Amino acid sequence: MSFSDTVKRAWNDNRLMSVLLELTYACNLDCSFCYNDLSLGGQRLSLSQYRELLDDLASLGVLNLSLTGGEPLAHPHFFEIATHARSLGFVIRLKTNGHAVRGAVARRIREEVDPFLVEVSVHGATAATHDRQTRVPGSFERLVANIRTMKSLGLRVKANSVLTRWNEDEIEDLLALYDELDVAFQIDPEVKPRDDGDQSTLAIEASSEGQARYRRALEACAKRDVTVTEAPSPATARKAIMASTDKHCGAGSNNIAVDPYGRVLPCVQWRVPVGNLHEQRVTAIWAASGTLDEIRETTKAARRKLESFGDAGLVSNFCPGAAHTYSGDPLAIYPPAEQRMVVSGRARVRLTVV
Amino acid sequence: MSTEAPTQRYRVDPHARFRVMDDEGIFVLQDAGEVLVVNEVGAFIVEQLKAERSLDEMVTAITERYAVDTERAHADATSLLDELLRAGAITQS
Repeated sequence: MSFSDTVKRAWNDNRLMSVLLELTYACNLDCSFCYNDLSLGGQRLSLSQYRELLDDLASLGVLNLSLTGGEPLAHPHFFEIATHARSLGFVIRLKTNGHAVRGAVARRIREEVDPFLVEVSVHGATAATHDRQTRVPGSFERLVANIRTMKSLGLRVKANSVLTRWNEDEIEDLLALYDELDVAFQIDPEVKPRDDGDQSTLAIEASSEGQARYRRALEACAKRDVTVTEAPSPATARKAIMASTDKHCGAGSNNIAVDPYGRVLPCVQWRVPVGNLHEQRVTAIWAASGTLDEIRETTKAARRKLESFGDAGLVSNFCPGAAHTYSGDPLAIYPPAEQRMVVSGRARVRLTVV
Repeated sequence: MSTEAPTQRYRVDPHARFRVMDDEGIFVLQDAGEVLVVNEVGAFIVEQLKAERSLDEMVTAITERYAVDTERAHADATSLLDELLRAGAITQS
């Protein structure tokens, strides 16, 4: 018996295992490439609705719960929601910009929420780069101090970064910073459009030279045997799962997301509502949403399409949700995925010539 | 250890998380960053300890639910509890 077997069954049998809650789009920073659609409106979920939702998710056997935003700590009932989640036995991941996680707040998180992981956003290796992104002077120094506080309290911390044109020249320093802070890390090499399809964020996409430099830095890092936390999430078992499922991903099959207005989404990146908690409980949506069934079929179609490209499709890191955001078509190959496929093709040609 | 204390009670470690999924149980050992999967009988035993049942009470529950004799149920339960204690998934209360 292994965890990957469990996740495999969850994908194949549509067993809800992981849920991400966007508690609020409010934030104490002002990142220029924030993907949240701040024009979205609607009735926010109340504290009692969050409690009911968490009770329902526990009854469905959900294991992983991510609390995010915006900035989740900006939600007025963050601690009530998080401590209720803890009491129900969820494995909690807190995705925060880290700006407010200091002193008493950090201690409350450790003692009252006891998360498995705190994920913080690091936008550069220097104050100039990080603060340029957050548009809040002093945010870098404060984040670094807060990470040290979290570590001293025994919190497991992971740094999330996005490779951009602004930080591509300091990628080696960024890796050194993770090392010095002793945190796990994940770098997304792809700047995404905003959730409303606005692609102005792509203006700071990393250059091709920056992408190459990033890959070289990661390879050098791997050779130094840097430890990266293996979180017990579906992502850790993805390779094993892919061999025995006909789906491209677990969107709508073993994971969903919920926005602050009660919209239930197949994944945080796939912004197609499959139901709304103001109208139905999550148990009813999970059991009978026709849109959810369509999403599951689309993940199968995505798998078939990518396999038709051979190895290039496998390395494309294609995301149906991102595809939907780019063009409205979850099966359309979008520019960054296409670029990765081309790079992969070139690499194969080079190997053949050698 | 568990074999020497039939009235001993256990609990899931405060930093561990446990979920029953279909026919098996999943422990997430938060401090170690590891996952431990137990089979159906193991999940049943963990549910018993969460209900604050002693080892003897767990053994009785196992024999009532599964077609095993007391000796076998006791051996299986103590073996699992020892393993879970070593892994840090449960503690003696």
